[in-house]
Amino acid sequence: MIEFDHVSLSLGTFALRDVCLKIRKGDFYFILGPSGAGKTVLLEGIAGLHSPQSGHVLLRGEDVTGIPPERRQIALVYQDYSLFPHMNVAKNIAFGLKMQKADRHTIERRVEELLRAFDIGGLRDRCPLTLSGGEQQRVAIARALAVEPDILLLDEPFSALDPVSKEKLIEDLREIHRTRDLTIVQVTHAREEAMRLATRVAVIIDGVLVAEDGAEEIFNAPETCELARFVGIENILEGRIVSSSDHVVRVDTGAATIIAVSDLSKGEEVAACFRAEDVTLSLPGSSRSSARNTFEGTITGFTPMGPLMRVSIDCGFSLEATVLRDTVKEMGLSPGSRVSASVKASIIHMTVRTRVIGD
Amino acid sequence: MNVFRHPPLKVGTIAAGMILSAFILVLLFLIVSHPSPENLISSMFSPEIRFAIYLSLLTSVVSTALCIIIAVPAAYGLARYDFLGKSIVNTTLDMPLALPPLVAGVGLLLFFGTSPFGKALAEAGLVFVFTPLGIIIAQFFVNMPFMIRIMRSTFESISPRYEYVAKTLGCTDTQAVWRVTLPMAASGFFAGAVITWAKGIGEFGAALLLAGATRMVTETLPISLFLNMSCGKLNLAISAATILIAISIISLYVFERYGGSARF
Repeated sequence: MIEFDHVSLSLGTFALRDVCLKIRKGDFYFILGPSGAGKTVLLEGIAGLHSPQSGHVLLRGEDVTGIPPERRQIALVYQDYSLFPHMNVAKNIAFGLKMQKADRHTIERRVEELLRAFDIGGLRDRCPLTLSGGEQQRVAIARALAVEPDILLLDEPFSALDPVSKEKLIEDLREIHRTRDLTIVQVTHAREEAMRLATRVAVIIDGVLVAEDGAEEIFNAPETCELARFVGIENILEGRIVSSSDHVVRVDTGAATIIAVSDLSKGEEVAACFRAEDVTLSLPGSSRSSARNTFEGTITGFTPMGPLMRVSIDCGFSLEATVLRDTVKEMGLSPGSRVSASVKASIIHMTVRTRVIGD
Repeated sequence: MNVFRHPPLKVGTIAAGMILSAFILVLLFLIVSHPSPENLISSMFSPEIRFAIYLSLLTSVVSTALCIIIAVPAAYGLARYDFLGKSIVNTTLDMPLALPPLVAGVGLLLFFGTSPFGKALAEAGLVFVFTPLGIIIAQFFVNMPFMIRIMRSTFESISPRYEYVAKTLGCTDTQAVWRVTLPMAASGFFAGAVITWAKGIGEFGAALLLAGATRMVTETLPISLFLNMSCGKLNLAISAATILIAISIISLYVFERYGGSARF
């Protein structure tokens, strides 16, 4: 559906370097990266707002590198919504249809339909500047969908929303993606959104596409240590494989030995990655866990995370675990408590360590 | 005096501002109150002042229109695009602001009076030296930077993303500017036009050198003020000054009230 073939594009301080990616029809594709990584430039490159210095952009199988945005049939919604302040809500939504020279009857029917679909009928005569963030967001998406594009580009749509509007938007986007046969490309620096919505994810750092895979693989089985860190895997323990047999490896990290399921061979420099929520806590000696990795340690601190609690433990190396707040209470945990932390060997993801440029 | 409630810095700086504004108000009051109201009104309706009003309005409206036609696209280009020599172009366009109008007038006089281009224009019937056309060109040259600066700052304050969105919704580059950016720039445009027009009406130095000061021919309000002052017709001079003061006050009010974020 969308293809970047070795695209390099620089724009002021932002630059994409030799980016190759393929977005398939029907994907809910997330482009993830820290602020200033070049994500928005990439999105604008898809829309045709900037032409690449080298490489080709293909849309629906055709090279569109020199084709201007108005002929690409791609809708774009910015994080600040960019609603036209000199037009009311209905006129904003009708704008694209007017540009397509649709007849008045069609425009009216389509605007009504979208006002209803996005539950913004009451706002039709309002000026965009008087709307709340969530309302502006819905108007902006309705305006984008009015021209019935098959590709929708979203630039950080959640960044300015309160939690309630955010939940509503996540549901809306799921619905739009499911019912309107859309390919959606969304850029964000927030991982949680991607974890909940994405079918595929690309990670872009400093203008370079560092990873591109299914959401599951990116978040739970990242290919490199740096990527593991970027996608927020809390426990990354670096070491060397000291034995390997029957798809089970033992990794010596210096402070501990970790057992994991992996096909890597003895001698490889690796990092064992696992998420805090995959760590189970118990009181020392209280019960025998079936997990093959059990470390005893002392609790050094707590970080509340809504109904959950992040527990930091010193096991000779630092380990992060996430448990229910109630569990903390029931187990009577406090800083200084001794605990056993267990992790299943099958859940640990092994990555081969790579050196970062300039490291 | 309690120095904590009235710190010297606060008192001193506020006093400076207040004294200055009082000085300005006194000057303005002295001008308008100098002749008797009857004399002022009869002077204002004299054929000479009526001609000056007419010529001032005509030349300033035409020169403002010229400024708009050229400054708006130029300001857009300077606000939106990066190009080689942009800072030089920016500085050069601001030059007439810093240049004494008399110097600008000398330049214009040489250009239209002695250059082959100016001579060719004169042969084609476009005579700028010592004609009302010269007033228009002088006003245009001196006041263009105001329009450019105001429009440039207005365009810079409008995110290009509005245009980007418009383009994805089917606009060409030009349509996006016409349908989205220009309407959004309306307040800056309006403020710029008012200030350019008001400056045009008051233009004296460059117009004097290029168009001369001929009674009932190139006699705008400031030229009329100058001519009548120099031959002692104080009532006529002051009625011209009073009209200029009124125009200044109104245009300043309009600029502050409706100018939005426009600055110059």
